[in-house]
Amino acid sequence: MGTKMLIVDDSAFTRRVVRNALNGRGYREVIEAENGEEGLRKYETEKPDVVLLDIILPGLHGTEVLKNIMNMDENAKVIMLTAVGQEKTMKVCNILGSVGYIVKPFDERKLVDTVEKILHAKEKRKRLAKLTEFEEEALREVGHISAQHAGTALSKMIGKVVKVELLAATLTSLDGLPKLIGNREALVSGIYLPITGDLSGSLLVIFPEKSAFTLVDVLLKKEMGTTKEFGEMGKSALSEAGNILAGNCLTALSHALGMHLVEHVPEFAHDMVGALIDNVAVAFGQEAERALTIQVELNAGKKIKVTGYFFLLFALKEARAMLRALGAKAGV
Amino acid sequence: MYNIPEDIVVDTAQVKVTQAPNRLVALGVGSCVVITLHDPMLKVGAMAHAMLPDSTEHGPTINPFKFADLAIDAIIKKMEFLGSNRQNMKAKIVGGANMFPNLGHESLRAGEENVLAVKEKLRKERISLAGEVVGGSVGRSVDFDTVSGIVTVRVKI
Repeated sequence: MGTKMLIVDDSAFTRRVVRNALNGRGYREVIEAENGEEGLRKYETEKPDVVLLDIILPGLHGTEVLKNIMNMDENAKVIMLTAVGQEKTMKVCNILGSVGYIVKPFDERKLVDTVEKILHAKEKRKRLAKLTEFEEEALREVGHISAQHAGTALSKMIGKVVKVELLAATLTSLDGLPKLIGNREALVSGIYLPITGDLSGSLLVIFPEKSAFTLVDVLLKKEMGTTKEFGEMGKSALSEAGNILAGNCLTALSHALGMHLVEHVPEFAHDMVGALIDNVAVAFGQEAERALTIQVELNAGKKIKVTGYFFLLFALKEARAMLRALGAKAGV
Repeated sequence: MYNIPEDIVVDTAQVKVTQAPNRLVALGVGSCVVITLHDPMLKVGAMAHAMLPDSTEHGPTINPFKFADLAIDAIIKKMEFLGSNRQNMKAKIVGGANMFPNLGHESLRAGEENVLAVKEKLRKERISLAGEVVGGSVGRSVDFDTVSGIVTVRVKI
């Protein structure tokens, strides 16, 4: 059985060049789409073996189409069609999971060679269920840098030096996540933030109850030990602190990875830690068996004892994208 | 023979079965659903602590008991193994909360889906539902006494 190819390009001319080049070379079918939306529809219904995807498309941009295809099928083989001078976009495409690129204008020979090479490459992109030690180390480093930025922000807010200690950066199975905390019934304040953009994941900042109360005292300039329960103002202050910490953490992460990450308005909850973590963990269970967890402890001074935990949660697929962005050798 | 009651903790994605006078306990349940089965005649009980509604929507998994459907299959089997039959099994369910209700994040609605899936599965298996404490946005701990079949729900907030 021959190969099925989908070409997504708004130029009828390019589509014809591709069709002609592949004619009589054992391609079962060449399916054409003239924009991203059509391309996505056809990818879903036709399940092609390989996709040629133009970057500049009317409507949905090529990178968006790529992202959607990779979400549909993690093992999709997508080759980008690009013009000279789009190196930065190519980097993004590589991160998002494209397997190669062809620079326009291309000759038939080059096109056929590239496609054949990619089709016959042995499962290079095989997804391992585990990260290597080297990969974990690389991600730990990123987590640490991000958390340090959060620590600096907290320092500014409370006027004290904040020490940031990296506790763990691990790939955790979904059901193993709540176990990281220990006593599931411990009362904590949790600030939850979904992350979208080039990566999708979650950031959960957890303050044990005592630390949360102390933090509210500091933020509202009350005498230490005043806060015993959260009023609306306390909740608002903590949410805002969480927002600032999370925002700094994400900005640092964006910079380290060269990726665009969108943060959202955080939500505050005060309850048993097991219940909070499970709820966030489940957000991953929908799509992944494992999540990358970066756990950091923040400690502010001796008098003001505030301990916080950052959980940066990314599905394995996203962790791999992070590694690709870091230029680390992923999955091989 | 006199037995000292033992508290047996059922963690997320676990299923356990025991007999009187032991208790089965689940701590800090959020969007997960805890399903208890009790046979008042034999005084045996089982508990499942499921995280996700439906195994058929997922690929191969390391731990099948994180899915409500497979976890319920497992506790029914365990109860039957101890001599119970389904007509005598009474189910109670706890959990299915949404701890971050204001975000409206699609994937956080798992609690609601979990409850629906569990009820559907119990109907399909012809197990009667004797009680439920579900939904809302509060964490819960569950104590299940296999002597009386009483399920106690504790909240901290």
